[in-house]
Amino acid sequence: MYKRELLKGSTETLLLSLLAREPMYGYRLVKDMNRLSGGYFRFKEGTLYPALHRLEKEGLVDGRWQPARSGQQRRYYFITGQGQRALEARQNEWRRFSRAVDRVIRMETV
Amino acid sequence: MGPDVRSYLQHVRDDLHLQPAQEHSILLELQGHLEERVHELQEDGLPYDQALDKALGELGDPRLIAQQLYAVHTKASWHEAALAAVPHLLFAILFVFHLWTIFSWVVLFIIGTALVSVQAWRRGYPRWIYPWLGYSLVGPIVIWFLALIAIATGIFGFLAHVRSALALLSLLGALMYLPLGGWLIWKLFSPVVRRDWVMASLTLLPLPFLGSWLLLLWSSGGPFAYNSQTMLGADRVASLVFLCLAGTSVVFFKLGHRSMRGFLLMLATPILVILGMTGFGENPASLGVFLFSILSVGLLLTPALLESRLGHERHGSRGPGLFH
Repeated sequence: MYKRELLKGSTETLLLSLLAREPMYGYRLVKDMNRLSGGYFRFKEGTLYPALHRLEKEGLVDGRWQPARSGQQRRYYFITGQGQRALEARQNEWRRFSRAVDRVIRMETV
Repeated sequence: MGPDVRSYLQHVRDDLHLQPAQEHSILLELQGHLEERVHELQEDGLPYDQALDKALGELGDPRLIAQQLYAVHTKASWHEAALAAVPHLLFAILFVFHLWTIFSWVVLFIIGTALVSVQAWRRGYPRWIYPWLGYSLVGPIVIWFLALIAIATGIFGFLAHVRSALALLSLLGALMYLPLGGWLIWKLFSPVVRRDWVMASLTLLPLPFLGSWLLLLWSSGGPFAYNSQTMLGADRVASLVFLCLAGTSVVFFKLGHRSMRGFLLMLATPILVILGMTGFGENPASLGVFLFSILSVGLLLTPALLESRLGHERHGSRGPGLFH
C-alpha cells in the first residue's frame, strides 16, 4: 500500500527520466523501468497509459506513431523542451526531499 | 489476436467515450502492448493461453484504464471550461437586459451559437462546444413544437370549417417542417448521443428550464405579454438560473470522472427547474413543479437510453491492425 502511494507520486518523474534518455513506446518503458529498478517498479492497473497521456496533454511529452524495429507501428513518446524543464525541476525537488528524509531517518536510527 | 484480446479491447472502448480517432489510437496502442508481451512470454516458454492471461492481468482492469484515460482526455482547462460557460452567460445577458423581447436579438443569439457550433465541428469538435450546440438546437426545437401546435389547431380549424388561405398555408408549412425539423434536430444531436450520453445530457441542460419559462410565457398571455409584471419579474430569476447553468458547466468540465458528471447534471437540473418555477412568482402548484422537475431529469436521461439503442460511435474498428 505504502509502496503503491510512493509510486503514484513519482510515476510521471520516472517516465520523464526514461524518456529523457531516448524516445520509447509504452511496452519498452515498462521493460526498462523494470530492468533499471531491479524489478522494484512494476506498472499495473492501467497506471502507465493514463500517465503517458496525461504527460502528453500537459505538453511534457509528444506521442508519435512510428515503426518499431519489428516493423510494427508503435506509439513513441518524445520528451519536449517543456518536459525537460519540468524533469529538472522535479529531479531537484526529489533530491532535496530524499536527502531530507534520509537525514531524519538516520537520526532516528542512530 | 484471439477473442480474449478482442473482448478486452471492447471493454476498454465501451468506457472510453472519446473522439473516434482518439479511441482508435488508444486501442491500437494497447493492442500493440499486449501482442508484444504475449510474444515475449511465449518465447520464455509459456503456452499462448497462459501468456495471454498473464499479459491481460499485467495490463490491468480494462474499465479502470478506460475511465482513467477518459478523465485525462476530457478534463478541461480553465480556458475550455470558461468557453463552455459562455452561451449560458450570453443567455443570462439576454434576460438581464430584457433583450429576449427584441426578435432580432434572439435570432442573433441563436444563429451566433449555431455558427460557433459549426465552426467548432469543423475544427475537430472540442468538448466545450456541447453547451453551444444545446442553444443552437433551441430554435429548431421551439419551431418544431409550434409546428405541432399549428397542425393541431389547423386540423381543428378545418374541422370547424374555418378555411382561410393563411390557415391553409400555416398548416402546410407546419406539416412540411415537422419531419424536416425532426430530421435536422436528430442529425445534429444523434452523433453526440452516439459518442457520450453524458455530453448529450449537458447539451440538453438548458432545455428544461427554457421549457418552464416558455410555459410561463404561454400562461401569461403568449409572446405579446412580454412586458407584463410576471415576465419582467421572471427575467431576474431566468438570468440567475442561466448564471447557475454557467457555473454547472464549469464544474462539469473540471470534474474528471464521468459518473460524477452524470450525477452533477441529474442533481442540478431539478434544483434549477424548481428554483426557476417557484421563483417566477405565479405560485405554481407544487405537484406541477415536482412533475416538471421529474420530467426534466427524464429528458436528460433520454440520451443514456438512446446511446444503448444506437450503439457507440465507431471509427475504423475493423480497420488495419485493430481487432485482428
